Amino acid sequence: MKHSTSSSEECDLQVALFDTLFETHRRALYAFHLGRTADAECAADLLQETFVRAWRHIETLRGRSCDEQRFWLFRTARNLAIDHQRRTPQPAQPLDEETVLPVDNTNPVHTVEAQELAARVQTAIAQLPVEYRVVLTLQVMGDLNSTQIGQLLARPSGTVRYQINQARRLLAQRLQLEGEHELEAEAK
Amino acid sequence: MTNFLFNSSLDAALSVWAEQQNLAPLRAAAMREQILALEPVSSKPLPPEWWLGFSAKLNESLHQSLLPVASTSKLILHIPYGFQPRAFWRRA
Repeated sequence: MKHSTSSSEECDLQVALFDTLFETHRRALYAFHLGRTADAECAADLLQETFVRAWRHIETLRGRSCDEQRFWLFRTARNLAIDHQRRTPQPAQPLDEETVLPVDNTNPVHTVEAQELAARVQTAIAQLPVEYRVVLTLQVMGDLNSTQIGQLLARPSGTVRYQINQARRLLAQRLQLEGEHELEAEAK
Repeated sequence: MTNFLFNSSLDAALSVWAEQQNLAPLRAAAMREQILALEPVSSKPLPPEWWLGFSAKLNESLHQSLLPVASTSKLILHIPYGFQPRAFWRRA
């Protein structure tokens, strides 16, 4: 009986750790996968795969510090992303505006206008070089700073800052150009 | 027209984009349920009934891909212990 109780407690601890890891890192990991794949559905699949691995290794993760857990998760995510890329070697296709990410319609911020803008941004982000895309999504969606991104991607933070600036510059140019084209088309 | 060359405009556009990413369905409990449904909790070899269920699912999904059933049973015989059939379940 005692053994059964301790097993149950053990299981509760594992579940609690899993939930903590998930809630703490899911956004940044999703941002990482989205940056790598430029595909929302694929990113969600890879996120799930990352946490399947985490669940399988939950005992190993339990004995580690928060930093070590984060590095473990991101190393796993990177390996999965590389495997995925090998299986699907074609370059990521920019998302069609019609098939952009699912939205939460209960939130008032998700107006048609916001959806259209988000779709434009998504399309422009998907066209960025993958290195720029990853750092940008990690910063914007993952709420990470250049030092944290640098640690996760094993790059100097100065390089990350440069890449973020380049990503933003390219993104702004694309959005601006697209807007000007639209205005020209409307004028005609 | 919004001038995206201004940092503030670009930041606003990126914020809208980030807010539109619907991560609501990605909850820990739901993720655990999915994982537990796919993964045996025990580290012991999988019981025969688990494999029967997997075999049925695999057959179903392979039928949908129009692959011959004979190759299915051969495939099952060659599945190593520990193999997780997530891809098959998801496609089915």
